[in-house]
Amino acid sequence: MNETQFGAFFPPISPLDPQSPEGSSLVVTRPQFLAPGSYPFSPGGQEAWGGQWLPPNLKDAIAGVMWTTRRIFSETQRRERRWNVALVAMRDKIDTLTHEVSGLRCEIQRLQQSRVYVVPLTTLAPSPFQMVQQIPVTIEGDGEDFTATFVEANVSASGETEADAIANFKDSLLSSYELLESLPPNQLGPLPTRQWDILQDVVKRTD
Amino acid sequence: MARQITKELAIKICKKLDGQDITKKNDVHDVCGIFFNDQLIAHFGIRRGSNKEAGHDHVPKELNVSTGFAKQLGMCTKQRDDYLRERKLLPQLPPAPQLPPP
Repeated sequence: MNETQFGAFFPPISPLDPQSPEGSSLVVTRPQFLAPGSYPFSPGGQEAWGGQWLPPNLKDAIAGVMWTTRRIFSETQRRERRWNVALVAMRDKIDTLTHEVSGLRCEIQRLQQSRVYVVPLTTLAPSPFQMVQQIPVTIEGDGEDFTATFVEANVSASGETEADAIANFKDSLLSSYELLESLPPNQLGPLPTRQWDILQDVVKRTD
Repeated sequence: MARQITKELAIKICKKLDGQDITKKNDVHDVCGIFFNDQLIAHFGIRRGSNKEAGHDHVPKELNVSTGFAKQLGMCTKQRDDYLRERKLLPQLPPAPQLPPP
């Protein structure tokens, strides 16, 4: 294929030919100091780039590609930084959620194991006291510890088993009774006064 | 109801509230009495035995405060005066004056 045949498809491009469309456009966009014929090291106004002569439109294309590559690179870096920040925030949130979930799991376990029920207390035997009427004792426990409470009089005791808690409750009830009985009314605060009033109604001495 | 108040903490609470040992001769447990103006305002039992971890979750109920408050009493973040205020035996502290904006 000779030049004539090739030129039928690709017309010859010369950067020095201001008449060609490529050449004329280059002349218009080129800065003044690079005007054809003014560049001292370019033979006849041609520019040497990297020691080799390159057509100016190719040089622009390379510069454009480099600029685009730099831009893509900086954009990628910026996105990477954003991703890193987002990942750190996400990791912190996951840590917080894991902590909360483990806390909730413990709470659910505790609630599954906890039991609250009321048993009527009818006797204080073998002590020298007797119940005037049966009282409701609320038992709360989770298998490890139990608390028995007479809510109305605010008397309470703990134990490692339900039976232990009830036995301790009876002792606590009687010691409260004896303590409040031994103190003159003017030495009782509002809560002990109320306790004493209630205990007198539910417990009495047999001796 | 995991063990919230241990025997050790119950003893600390008793000391913190200036509690007095008002145990009677035939009592099975030690009794700590809290007095204010020569009046008994609360009392609670402390189980005997060497186990310092023995459960005393009944203490907040007998003190008439929440479990959290009782724990804070034992752990030194609340004082006797805070307890008396909680029980409304002492007047509440006035709110802190608001500083003018700079």
